[in-house]
Amino acid sequence: MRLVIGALVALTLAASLGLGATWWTVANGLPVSGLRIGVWKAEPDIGTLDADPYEVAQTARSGEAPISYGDGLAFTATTDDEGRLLDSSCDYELQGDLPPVRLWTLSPFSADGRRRNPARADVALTSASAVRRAGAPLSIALSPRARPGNWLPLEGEGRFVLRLTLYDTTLGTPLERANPTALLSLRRGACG
Amino acid sequence: MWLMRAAYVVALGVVVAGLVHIGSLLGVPRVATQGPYERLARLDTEGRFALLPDTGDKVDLLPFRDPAFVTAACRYDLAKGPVVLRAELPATYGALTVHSRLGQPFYLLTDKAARDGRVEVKIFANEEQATAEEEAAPDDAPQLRIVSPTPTGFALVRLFTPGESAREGLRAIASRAGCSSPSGSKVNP
Repeated sequence: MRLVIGALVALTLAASLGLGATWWTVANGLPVSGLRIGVWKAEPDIGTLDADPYEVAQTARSGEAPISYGDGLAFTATTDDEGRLLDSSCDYELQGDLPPVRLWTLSPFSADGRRRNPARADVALTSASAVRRAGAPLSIALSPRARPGNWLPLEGEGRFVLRLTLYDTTLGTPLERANPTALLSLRRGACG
Repeated sequence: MWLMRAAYVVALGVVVAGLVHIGSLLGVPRVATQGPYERLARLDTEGRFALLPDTGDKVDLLPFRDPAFVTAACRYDLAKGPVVLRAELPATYGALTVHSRLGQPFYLLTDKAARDGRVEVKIFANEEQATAEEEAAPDDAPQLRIVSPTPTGFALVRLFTPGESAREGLRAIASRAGCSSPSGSKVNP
């Protein structure tokens, strides 16, 4: 009897731990993997045939078609510099310098990758439309209300994530990965 | 004695949990119904490139798709023979990527590789077919021959839109991309 109970307990433990670990890692990715620069996180290997089983499962679950490693690198930020989740009712200021890239795009998404406003097509700020001031770092304002300079409108309510995609960059190469240059800082301003 | 038995049960549970984790992780792509290949089935993309909508209900067909790009997709099946992909890639930045069945891109051509603004590539199911083609290729056959790691997969044409006014023109260019078997109906020029 005790043997049966012991076996049952062990199997229940195994099933819940094993499936729980699968569920969590497929939804969130391995906590130690990828390339982290400040608040930005990217998975350079997800866009290659060398993607590990975690990255393959992540692609199958999210449905995202990863961009190729030679094409570019997609960074996601879910929090600001102080670790607070991004909220659409707040103002944010992004500042810093980007590594040499052919072009970059920045756009807000909901946490599962949906557009914030499906009625509009022009929801991204890109290197083609951004204004750079000579001698000053790149500065971008994210706000529900219009701002001067580079303004990315925040639409919808609640949590969002930011996607910064760098095209034609060397940032994902093993050499750069070991010693990454800084990306944009993400500071929260007034809320509500 | 009691503690020993409990520790033994926990240790056994953790070891089996590791096996369950590995097994279920490897099984996820096989049971997934919302992978990129399956999602693209909602557009009519067999044998041709279909534009992904930039507004409306289907805008989130592929999550995290860059809104600054016009995207067209084509699903291919090499069981019916090799597939030829042709695309115009404007110098503002355009890319043709070929993805395996599970979504991993295995081939990329950007506008830097384009000749007269165009790229073309032929996908084969295996190395033997590609080699045979090399020996008996007609002059107008695509010079680039690649082998797909999976018998099915999909290709994306992605064109950067530098401004909203360029979007319509780029959508027209992307929709002209060709994706068909040479033995079938006439290939798009």
